[in-house]
Amino acid sequence: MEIFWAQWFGPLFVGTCLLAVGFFVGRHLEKRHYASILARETAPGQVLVFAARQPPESDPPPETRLVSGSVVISADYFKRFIAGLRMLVGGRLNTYESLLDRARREALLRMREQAKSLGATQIFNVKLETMSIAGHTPNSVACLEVLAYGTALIPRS
Amino acid sequence: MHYENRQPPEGINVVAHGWKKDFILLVVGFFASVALLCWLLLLTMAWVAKWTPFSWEHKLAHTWFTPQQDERTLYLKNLAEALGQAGGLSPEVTVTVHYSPGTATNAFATLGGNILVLEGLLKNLTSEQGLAFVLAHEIAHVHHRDPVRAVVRGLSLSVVSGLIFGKTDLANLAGMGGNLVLLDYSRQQEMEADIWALRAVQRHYGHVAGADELFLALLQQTPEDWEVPEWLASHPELRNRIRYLGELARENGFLTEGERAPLPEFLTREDL
Amino acid sequence: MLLTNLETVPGRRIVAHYGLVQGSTVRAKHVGRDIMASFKNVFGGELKGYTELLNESRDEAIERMIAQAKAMGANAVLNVRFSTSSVAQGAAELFVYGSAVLLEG
Repeated sequence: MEIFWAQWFGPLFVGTCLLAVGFFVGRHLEKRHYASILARETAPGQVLVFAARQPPESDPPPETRLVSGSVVISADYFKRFIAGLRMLVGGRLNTYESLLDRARREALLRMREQAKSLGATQIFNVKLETMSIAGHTPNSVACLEVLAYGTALIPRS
Repeated sequence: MHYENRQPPEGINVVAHGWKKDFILLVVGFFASVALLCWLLLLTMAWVAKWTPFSWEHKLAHTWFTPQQDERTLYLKNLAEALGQAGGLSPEVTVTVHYSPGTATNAFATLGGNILVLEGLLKNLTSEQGLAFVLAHEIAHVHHRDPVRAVVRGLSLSVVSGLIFGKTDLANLAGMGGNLVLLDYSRQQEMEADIWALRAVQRHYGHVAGADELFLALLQQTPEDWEVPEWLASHPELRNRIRYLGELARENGFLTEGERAPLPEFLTREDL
Repeated sequence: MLLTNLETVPGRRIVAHYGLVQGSTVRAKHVGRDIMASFKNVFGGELKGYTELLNESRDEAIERMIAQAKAMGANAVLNVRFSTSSVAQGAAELFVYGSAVLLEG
């Protein structure tokens, strides 16, 4: 089979450039998001979260409210493509791991923001749920919702 | 009981990974999949092309040419028919030879069994055997359905590249596929045509003397420093071809010496 | 590292709560296992290949959670909960989380 190199080199080059741009922009945005997440998690006066079910006794007993935070994420084309290739051989999917880690931490942060806006200082019995909200056909977008919810304790003054 | 939140270190749930491996995987994987897709598509299309009825080709292409009626065309037509019979031309294809006043030393086979013989070719040949081999070679292309396969291949390649790079202008794609009159055949196809043509010439004349006349003439013409590396050219190097023809003749016991008839002079007359 | 999905540890006092710890892995099966699994679909029964794979992944996720807890200075994780979800066709996320605490003694 003959391939006319002149005819194919241009598109090859352009294609690689586009892939490179998309890939590196994606990584940059990911780094920026992580920086933002870290900043918010370690901010002073941040609401505390615990997975424990029993809050400590306190007098007067605090007001309780259910709070939640959720994030819907979707993997971009490159992540899906790389994951698709990785799936041929099996093993860990690094790109998806970082995506889900960011989503979970973002969901927790949003839950804390909601609690803070209510005047709470602690959230107990925090639970995390991950659900896929798209069909499981090969053509569907990998769309996931991460939900964090818990009971916020609002101290009565 | 003391309640606090301690920040766990990064890098436990997400292992910091370098970009190089992922990027290389992405690029290589992407182009490998594209190449695989192309290869599969071409394979299927080549198979499909073989089954295209010749009548469709003929219907499409016969409007491109105006029928000619003169001594020259008649001579070429008779020679082509004789060679077709000698070589065992498939009954479903019909061959029509046209004369074209072009100066290049060449002949083409295109869709619909139409063969173009250029003025330049006729001027550079001296024997009927030389012309017969060239004609037989082009007839072989028609017999093997090479024109329709080349067209389909060109179209599939442009469709695939259009799909990948998002071009949806189909007319543009079709044009991009290649010039439909001047078709480039793969080296495999050229070699098979050579074999068929040599056999046809042997059966028609009883010998193959003069079959390589065109190649020898072209060898004289092409200056040394112009030689294109073999793997780039779609016509294998002339010398290889000449040698290959010689080997074929020896293997099959074809006679390489014989009488060469001169070409009639009305072939190269200007005023027809 | 003590792991339990109870609220407390019987007989031990909790000195401090350090917050949420999480461990997760995303694993994909490979085509080989897939083909074996589709054969098994005909006969039914346990898909040993997948069971192994998911167990390994779960162990790894637990390891990561323990690593986080250790880094925080905790010596036990209470209220451990598991979650498995499908992130793409053929890939699943194994997620473990719990409350990191410092037990007395």
